[in-house]
Amino acid sequence: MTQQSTLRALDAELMAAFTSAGLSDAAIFTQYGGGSPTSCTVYVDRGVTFQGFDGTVRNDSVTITAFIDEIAEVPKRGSLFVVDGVTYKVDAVTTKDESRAVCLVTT
Amino acid sequence: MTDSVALRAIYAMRTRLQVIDGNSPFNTAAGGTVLINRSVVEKGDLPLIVIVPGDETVEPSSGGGVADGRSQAVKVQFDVNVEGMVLAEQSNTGEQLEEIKADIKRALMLFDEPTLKDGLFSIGPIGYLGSTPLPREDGAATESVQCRFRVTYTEKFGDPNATR
Repeated sequence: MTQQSTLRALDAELMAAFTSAGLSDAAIFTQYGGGSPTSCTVYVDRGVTFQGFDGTVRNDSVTITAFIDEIAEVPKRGSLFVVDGVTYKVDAVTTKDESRAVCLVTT
Repeated sequence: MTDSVALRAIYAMRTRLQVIDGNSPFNTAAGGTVLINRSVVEKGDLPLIVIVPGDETVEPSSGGGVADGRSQAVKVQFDVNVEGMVLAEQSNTGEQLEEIKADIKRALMLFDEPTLKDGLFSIGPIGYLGSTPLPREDGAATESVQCRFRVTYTEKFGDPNATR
């Protein structure tokens, strides 16, 4: 058994449990550059950041965690996730391993 | 009771900035919301401008007062930061802040009126010291630019409301 298969099996098991508990969302992923829309399941995490110098603007800080087994490849900048009617555009991938990718997105 | 010269300078700058209405030659309508020293704003309120008073520096040879034989005129340099905040997207990061920077400079640096005025009364000349951009960061929807200005005026020793 490889680290990749172990991580993917573990993440699938966790996702199944979280989905049962209503802690994940169904999404449509479209890779930047003309990829076909793909159904997947994601975690959406929301926070805030502050941008500016002396004065600051409160910004949303949203990350989407997606799984390579479902989306086939790590999202590129500009890729889209549609979750519950809201379109999120990938700005950057902040974490990735053999199983999942965590993306910083904007609406 | 009148305001201090420093506060009148801030108000005069605010008045100039409020002309930024989105019509030519301005790029944005940031003049619709000009705040003083606001620390946190909501992105739904953008575009907007925040005026942040900074250091006040006095020319060492001035300000001693008449008691020791020197002048009553205190020569003050008052630094004021003007921060422009705009919405930005992945496709135009870095562009919007240049537009609002241009608006701020156009509104404050009037070639035929280099002196800030409080109504009919002159406060002092305003100078531009430079700017620092802060482009949109990944995951954010805003960007901003800090423009640094200096207002120079002469204040009466012991009476910050009076110019000399």
